[in-house]
Amino acid sequence: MARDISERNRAEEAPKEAELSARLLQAQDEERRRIARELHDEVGQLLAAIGMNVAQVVREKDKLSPAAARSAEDMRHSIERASAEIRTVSYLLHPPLLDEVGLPTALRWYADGFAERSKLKVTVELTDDFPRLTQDYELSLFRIAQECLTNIHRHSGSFTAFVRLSCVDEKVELEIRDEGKGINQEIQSKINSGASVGVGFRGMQERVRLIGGKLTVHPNPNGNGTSVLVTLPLNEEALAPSESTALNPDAAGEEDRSRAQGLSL
Amino acid sequence: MVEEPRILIVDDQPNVRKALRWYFQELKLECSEEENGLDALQKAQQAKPDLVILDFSMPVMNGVDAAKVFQQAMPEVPILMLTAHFGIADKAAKDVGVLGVFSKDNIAPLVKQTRTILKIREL
Repeated sequence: MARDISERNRAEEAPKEAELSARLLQAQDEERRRIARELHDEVGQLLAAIGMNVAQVVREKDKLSPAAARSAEDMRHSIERASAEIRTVSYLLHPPLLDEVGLPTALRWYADGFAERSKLKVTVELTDDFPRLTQDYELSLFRIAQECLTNIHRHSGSFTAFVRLSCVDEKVELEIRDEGKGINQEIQSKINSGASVGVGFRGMQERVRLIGGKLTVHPNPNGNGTSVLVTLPLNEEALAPSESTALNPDAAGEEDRSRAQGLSL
Repeated sequence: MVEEPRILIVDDQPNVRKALRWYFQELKLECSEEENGLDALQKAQQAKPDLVILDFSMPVMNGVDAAKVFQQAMPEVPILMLTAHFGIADKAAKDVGVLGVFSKDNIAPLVKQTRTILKIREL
């Protein structure tokens, strides 16, 4: 059946595998963004229109039989619930604020919503004047924070979560800490050495690797629990064109222009 | 003449198919692609793949249903599954004879398994 096609060394293959990973992650991000937009723009708008019609029926419920009036009320509540669900799912699939206002605001917004849904106390600490990063970098960091918070909620047993995003000395740091039961030393070592340890961490490591950063896991320095730390260099590649070309406005790139177009829509 | 191993890629997302096709063609494998399980089954009758890579979640016929039908129609063809819903897909897929389920977030194990199945040696 198959032919041995070897004659290719591993060093030659590794960049191709990394490129495949990058393409697949990008494809998934694009798909999530598309579904989020469709849910919000199509289904969300349709539900809003149905909601308005039902509200009209409810306003005139005196003209209905008691059973029909009850049904109209039930329908109004169901539509409100469905609209809220659509909004949440759509935002989780792709945070709309991220493209428009950037990572710090999107993270704060997400943490607020997460705290409300999970009942965890979430503290967010952000550096002032955090620069705009390119779309890939911002989305990767956002997804990592999202995954870590989900892990804390599902697995850590912690009642609190702490998110820190900072930019100091040409270095971006994203740290997510909890005060839960912690991750045992052996698994921490495996994660820190890049070994496979469950899909969530593998996905995060892959994202970090693709943007040239590093992800490490430590015990929470302030007590019980775990700290996940992502560090990456703040170089030209990481900065959005508007940031990296602040001194040279003529060099503003395509991404910047499309971002501006997106805002004007 | 020895023929190149043939892979049939089935995924409803064009960018995922494109990425996998690009990679496997770099490995000198012959690739064909379909966007759902039903079309893939028809294609497989002619293309006679050495390996099928199915997405878990697809329109018309999802990956698990497609794997079931593939197993009946061509039990000799190994099937791997790729998914964004890791954990949900795993058991359902293995129950219908899929050899491995892999996350789209971490592609290295899929590549390794493909190499093993098709006996592509790493030097």
